[in-house]
Amino acid sequence: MSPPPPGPAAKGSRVTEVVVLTTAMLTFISCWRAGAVVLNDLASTAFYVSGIAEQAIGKSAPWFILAVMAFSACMLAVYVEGSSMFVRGGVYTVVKNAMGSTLAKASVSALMFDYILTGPVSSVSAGQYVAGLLNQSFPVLRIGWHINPDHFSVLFALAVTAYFWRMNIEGIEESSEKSMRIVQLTGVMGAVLLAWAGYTAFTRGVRWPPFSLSFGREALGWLDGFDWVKSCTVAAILVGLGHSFLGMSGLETLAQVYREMEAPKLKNLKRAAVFVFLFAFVLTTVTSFLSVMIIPDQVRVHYLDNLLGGLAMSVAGPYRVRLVLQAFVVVVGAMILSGAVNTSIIGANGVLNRLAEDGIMADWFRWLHPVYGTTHRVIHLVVGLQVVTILLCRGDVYLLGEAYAFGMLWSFVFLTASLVVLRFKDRTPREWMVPLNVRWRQLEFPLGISLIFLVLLTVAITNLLTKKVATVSGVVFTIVFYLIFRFSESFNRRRETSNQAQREKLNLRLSPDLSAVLPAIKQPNRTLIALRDANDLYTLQRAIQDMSPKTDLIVFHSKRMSGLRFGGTISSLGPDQEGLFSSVIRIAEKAGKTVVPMMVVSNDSSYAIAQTALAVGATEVVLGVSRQGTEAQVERLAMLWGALGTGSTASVKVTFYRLSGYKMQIEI
Amino acid sequence: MPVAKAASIADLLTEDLILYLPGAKDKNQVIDKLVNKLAKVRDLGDPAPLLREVLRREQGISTTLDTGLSLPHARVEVPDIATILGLIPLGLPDSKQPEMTIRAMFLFVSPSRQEAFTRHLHLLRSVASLFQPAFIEQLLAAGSPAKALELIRKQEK
Repeated sequence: MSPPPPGPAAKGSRVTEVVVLTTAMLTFISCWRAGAVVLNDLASTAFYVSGIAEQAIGKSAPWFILAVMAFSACMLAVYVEGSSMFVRGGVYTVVKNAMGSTLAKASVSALMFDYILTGPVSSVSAGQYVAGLLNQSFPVLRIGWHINPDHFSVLFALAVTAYFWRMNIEGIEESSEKSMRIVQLTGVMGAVLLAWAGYTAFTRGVRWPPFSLSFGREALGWLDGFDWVKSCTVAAILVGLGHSFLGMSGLETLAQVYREMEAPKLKNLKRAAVFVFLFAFVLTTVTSFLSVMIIPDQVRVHYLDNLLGGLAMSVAGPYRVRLVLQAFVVVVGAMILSGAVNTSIIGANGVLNRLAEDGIMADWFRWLHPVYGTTHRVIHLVVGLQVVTILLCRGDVYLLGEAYAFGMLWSFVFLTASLVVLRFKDRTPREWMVPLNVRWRQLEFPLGISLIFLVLLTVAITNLLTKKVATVSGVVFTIVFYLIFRFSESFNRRRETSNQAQREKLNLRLSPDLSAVLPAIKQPNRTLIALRDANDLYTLQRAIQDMSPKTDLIVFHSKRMSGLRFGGTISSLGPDQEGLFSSVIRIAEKAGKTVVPMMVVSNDSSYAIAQTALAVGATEVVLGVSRQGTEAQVERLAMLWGALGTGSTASVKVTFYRLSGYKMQIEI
Repeated sequence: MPVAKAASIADLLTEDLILYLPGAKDKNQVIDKLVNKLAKVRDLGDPAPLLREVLRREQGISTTLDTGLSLPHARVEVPDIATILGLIPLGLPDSKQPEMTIRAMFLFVSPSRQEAFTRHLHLLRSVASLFQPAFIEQLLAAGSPAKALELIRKQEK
């Protein structure tokens, strides 16, 4: 819908300056888009997890992948509980609230290690898929070329990273749209491949993968000399699970996109979690089983970096048709793996923003892009580190896969432990809890989440001993990042107050008239809510609650300045206005509803309210109750509505919300 | 949704209820004069309680607009809306907003019953809409209550 035409007041010459506050954080996405962002990482592991796990634990890998993907439902439940408690949540916020700042910084340092690796492991793997397809296609196309897969995959990964770097600078609405399209295409590809491969397995006779583990040369790490590990079933299973855990990559991003999820938030979060689980479980588990069942052992070893490509080439059918199927798988694979780069940038950006809001990273990182309103400096940092990793790995997916999962697993451990602690520390009613809670008299023991924690801790300790590359590189990276965060935090404390750090960074768009706000208005109904200060927020909460989906809520603040009629000069927001609009954004974010924040300078706030309401075509004006009383407020608005809206017969509803819960509405 | 058409402003006035006040110097004095005249013409009884209520309302949120119109009013125990118009050729400063000059004062009282409040608000809106600066100038130039009333009637059409 095109913006509404300006009302009568906007035509006048009384307005000299208007400030519209813009920030990308007020854009909300659907549960499907949020799920798609997570799936670009989680489901993309289907393209490499089987190959990496099989190199470590042999042909029984699909059973372990099945177990890990089933366990991802438990982790999704943990994330839903955590996010329902903290809109700007995730590992850092939850751990900090439960166990303090030091452990929060440590866990987030570990998590950053995986975010930095997710982009490279996915994009390099995508490059390997494309290189494999090209090398197979050249002879068919009678082209005498052969490209080096490692070199090609590095170049491919750099190009993909650069593309999603640009997308993220432009904002989540743009990048989540791409993620959604990728997931839709992956769904089509998955359905075709699974149906075809399933038919092939059925006609050739189903042979399930063996249960017995066959450890690769590096699979046992520092436990290599201990033969009991191989003979002890429980220990062997733990090692096997540890090598398959990278199949769960991307879940933290669910917590990071939660703040950008539209209303009703929790319901949408649960929908997104179920969507993510079903999609990733079916795609990753079934393809890993079919790969072992269909691809002959002597052929599969050549496809370990490109296993779904190998699966496409092993189904029943003529060679050229299979080649076309492989091309389809590779194109989709390259897209979803590239999409995982996007997920990692979004997730890391979210995590680092939580740190910056908390005063741990320099405030400089939170400055918004002047055009797109995104935290571009954080995005530059994340992408810069990913580019360095891509160059250092030189196209070796196995190396990246081996290093991977350290941070993810330990951040899961800290997150789950923290939620267990919070069950005892903070007994306020939860919107949602991980099931299996045993009640005995006044006590409630969180059995379900405690069991999840024990599984995670056991696997994490096992991985610490068996995945040498992950442990060494992960520990080093975590320590380095932790020290950077510590140093940065103490440096910031000397320079700023924590109050400053908690304020939102807001882009200001200045304009000589009220038409500046019109492009931000998209819905047919418009409500203007006038806020005096941060004590008026109850009114906003109620108005957001009552807001229908087809309504734009214009959050208006008039800065008092004597000696002016309407308008003045605003170069930046004062501390009071920053505090007010930071709270506005947090409330809108918590509700998942878009608001249009704006401010004008005036010596008569009623005048400014009426003029703005007329300019935006508001059919409702929500006011806070002033000392002079609601009757006088409505009378003043009626006078101004008449004086400014000459000739207009449109009515306007004036609404007041009282703390008692009473809602008063009058039509003028 | 369009507003239900409020009662005609011209129908609420008579020639007796339009006053030219060339010597007006003080807002409260003008209010006093208008209240007394209104009470007398509309047979509202003792003007003192009306004046007290109007002045009490004046202490709250401003009733003056930068169009040059002032709208003193009160919700009191009266059977129906009663209005009076004062026209001030030389203008007088608003005590609360000295940068504003009052050229016309439309004073009214309306019933305090809750169901009459919507009508009260519609009257405020209608009067504020009608009395724009150019129209106030025409009323001041008219020079007589009869001509002023005729102008209001024409403008409302």
